[in-house]
Amino acid sequence: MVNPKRPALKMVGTSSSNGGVFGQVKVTGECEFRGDVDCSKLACTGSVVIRGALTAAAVKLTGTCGVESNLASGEIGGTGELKVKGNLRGEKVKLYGQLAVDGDAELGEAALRGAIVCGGLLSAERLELGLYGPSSVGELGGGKLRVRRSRMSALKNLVSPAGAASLKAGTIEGDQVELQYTEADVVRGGDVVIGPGCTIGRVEYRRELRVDSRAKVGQRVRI
Amino acid sequence: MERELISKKDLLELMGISYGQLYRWKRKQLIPEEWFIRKSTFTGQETFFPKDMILARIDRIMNMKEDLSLDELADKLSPFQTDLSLSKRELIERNIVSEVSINRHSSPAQLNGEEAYSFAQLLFLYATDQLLSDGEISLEESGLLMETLRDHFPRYEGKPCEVLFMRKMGVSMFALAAAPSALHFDAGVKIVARLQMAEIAEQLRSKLN
Repeated sequence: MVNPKRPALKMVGTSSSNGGVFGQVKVTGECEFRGDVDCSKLACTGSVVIRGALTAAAVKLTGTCGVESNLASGEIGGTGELKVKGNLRGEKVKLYGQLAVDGDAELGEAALRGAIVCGGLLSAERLELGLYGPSSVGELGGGKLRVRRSRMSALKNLVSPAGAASLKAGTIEGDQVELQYTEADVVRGGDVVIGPGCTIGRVEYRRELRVDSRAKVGQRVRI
Repeated sequence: MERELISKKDLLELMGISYGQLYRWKRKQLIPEEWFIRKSTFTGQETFFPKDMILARIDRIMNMKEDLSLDELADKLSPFQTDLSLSKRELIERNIVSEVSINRHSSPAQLNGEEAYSFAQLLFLYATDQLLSDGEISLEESGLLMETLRDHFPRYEGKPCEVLFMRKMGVSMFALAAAPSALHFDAGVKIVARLQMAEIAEQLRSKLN
């Protein structure tokens, strides 16, 4: 690294930077980085766009954040909208709002509430997904996966019937899988619980399968 | 080159591991992305792995994870980052690279045993030697390949890439391409050999250990 010291960066108002290596980066307002950013912590209140990759030990977000390339971070937390055009990697993710990833999202422990759109594979050690809006994932995989519809979304549906809180996925695989309001081609897992509102083409399970009476399941196979 | 594949389901059963472990290892980059091969089967999309490689890899991870953290493991398993080096004598004794290739592509200091071969040099030699002993390339062409690898391989910075060897109307050429790549040539081009460098590195490492 050219600069061994990681300087802090504070940006207020509408501003832009060419990116680089920083310590703590604090953005209040609207900010654009025209290159890769490597920092120990990114705290954003407002909106930030990174035209490159973002590497940060921690990201705290209140507002919107767009990353044109990959995002790798230890901890990601906050409220708002996070858009990643590349792949997302995070150890601990707690996000309220919209998460959009074009590539793969590989997470450790994740608690997401809102709507998720992931083009590729969304994998997590432990995933708690609270659905507030229409979500879709190419493939979902991990250890403990739990997808639930939030209570509030019933209320939201009354106001705007378009975009019901549900999840669409190709394949879902996990050791413990618990689903609600999910549409998937194949679900594979150890213990599988298919809750209300699910439409699943085929379920393959190893130990236990429970299916709610309000769910539709095509084939059930024990392996 | 058809290789035997194993489905994810069978792999988990065979090795007695869970989905969680597999995805964790993938996230920690202990299992390379390219090994995840998606195919559609009659029950929908399934993921397959090259059987021999994934079984060996999981064996290693299971054996080493007791003493090392996952991040340390990732460094150990990364195919291109190895601080191994060997002398000419060891290379011949362990029958890793043929003597013809060694004599042709080594510096004088390496030949008389004063200088050891770094892992990158070994990798280039090993790849070249493999094509040479398979009879795919001639001795002259092997020099060209060594040069290509020396000049361009470092630019990939450890990202997966492959070596292509093509012939058209008797003219031969080498190319390095980021993998996985879809390349198409005109009808007169014949791809004589195609090597995944990560795979070659993997083979070499298993020979060195």
